[in-house]
Amino acid sequence: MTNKTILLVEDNTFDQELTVRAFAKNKIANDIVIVNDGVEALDYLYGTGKYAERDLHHLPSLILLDLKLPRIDGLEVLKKIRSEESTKLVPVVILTSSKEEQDIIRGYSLGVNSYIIKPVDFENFSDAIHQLGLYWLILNIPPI
Amino acid sequence: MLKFHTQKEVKEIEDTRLFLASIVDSTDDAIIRKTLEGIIISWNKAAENLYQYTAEEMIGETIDLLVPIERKQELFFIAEKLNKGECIKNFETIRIRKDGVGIDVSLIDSPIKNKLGSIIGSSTIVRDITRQKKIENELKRLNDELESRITERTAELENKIKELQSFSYSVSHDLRAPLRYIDGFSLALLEDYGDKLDETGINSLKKIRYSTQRMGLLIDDMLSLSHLSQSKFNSEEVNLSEMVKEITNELQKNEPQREAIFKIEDNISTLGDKSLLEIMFYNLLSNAWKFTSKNKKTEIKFGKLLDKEGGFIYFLTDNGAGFDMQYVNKLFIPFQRLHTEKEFPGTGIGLAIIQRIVSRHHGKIWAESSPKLSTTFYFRLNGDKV
Repeated sequence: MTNKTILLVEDNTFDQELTVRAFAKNKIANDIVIVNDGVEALDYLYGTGKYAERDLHHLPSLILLDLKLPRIDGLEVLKKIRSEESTKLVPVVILTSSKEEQDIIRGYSLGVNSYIIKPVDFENFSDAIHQLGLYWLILNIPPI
Repeated sequence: MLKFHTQKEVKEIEDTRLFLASIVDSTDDAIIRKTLEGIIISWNKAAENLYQYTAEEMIGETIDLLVPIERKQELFFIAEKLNKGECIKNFETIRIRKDGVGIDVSLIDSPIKNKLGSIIGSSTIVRDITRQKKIENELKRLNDELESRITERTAELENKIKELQSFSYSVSHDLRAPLRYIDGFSLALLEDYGDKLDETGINSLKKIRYSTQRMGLLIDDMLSLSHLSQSKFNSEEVNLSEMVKEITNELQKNEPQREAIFKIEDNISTLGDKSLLEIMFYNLLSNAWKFTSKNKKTEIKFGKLLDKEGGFIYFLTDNGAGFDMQYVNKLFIPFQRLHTEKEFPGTGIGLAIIQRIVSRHHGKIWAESSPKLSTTFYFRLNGDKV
């Protein structure tokens, strides 16, 4: 079985570093691909732009998506993921600082699988990443 | 058959005629009699005052003289009705005075019949409604002005609300992120380099993390307070007694070792927003539970009283630490605390939340306390009449 890749869509390098750290802390050794904005995320998923050479047979097993992103924002990326045949079943978890209700409701109506508000306390964040990894990478049986 | 009147009858008829004539002459309404063709046959004093024509000038003229050109067709409509024996009541129109000025009038036209019942003419009562019209127009103008001012103010308020919403959105997104980094990297430092730090260094890092997390809590509290004022209000019948019982059960379950008595009056219900009231009672009872945590035995009472106006006052009493009444006016200010964090933990948002929910129910809340004996929160919620 090929290694299950996690795609992390996050523009802030501190957040990237802390998220990677949280995965490592929870002994989740999957490959983590980091993209810096919505455009790069779509390039990675559909083999365009700087990812034109990528083997599209290898889809991420989990996408962690920030909402506030430069260029194309998280909800737009989510919309595209859900509308494309190749990616519509990939689990997407929104990771964001936002507690704003309308974001949550819109995220669910666009077909997000879960929604995690990043807590200030890093240990709580680490617990959330632990459960996330456990559920989406180990317990969940993918439809494909 | 001819009928002859006695002298007495003649006098009575004459008296009645004089009486009616004096009414016609002294009234403020113009009274005009016309033939079927519209020729004026009587013209009282008020008609002279209103139209500025004397009786001599007008008797024998047609009523046509008083009607503005663009309203001449009214006369056909009036004549048609009168010919059918119908009256025209409170017909508002414009007539022209001798000096050419148009005046607002209200007309009552009624047919005059002879003894055999055939129509021989008509009488018109004309009331000057210029002043009334002026007042009406003024009222309409003021009303329009008021409405446009309300529209303007509403737009201003809506803008302010939008500004506040985007402010809280930005607080929620942008201020929390740096806090997460401070906390995350402080922990990274502790984990990766903890062995190179002495106890003071480690404690300093712990204090940084504690402060960061506390600021996170304060931001969350501030946001939830602003959400409370903006959320939709759904009114329904809410059983407060049941709500209080559920919350107190929950509190006791979390700390089963505490000895507590709950005296909750049954069947208290009110009209209100259930989820807001839940937040409110959760805060009120958590407070009572927290401030009695140092008691040997906790006692919490919930009930209602009748006020003089026949409304309900609800109360929640505990036997906890309470507060000094000289600080009572600081009680409901957000983040204002009357105890140190060490004595009783908290951010100081609970009572501000409670007050906001009470005010969204158009109610009022106040408190009385004798420290360490009894502390009571009293509150009213709108619509709780007997």
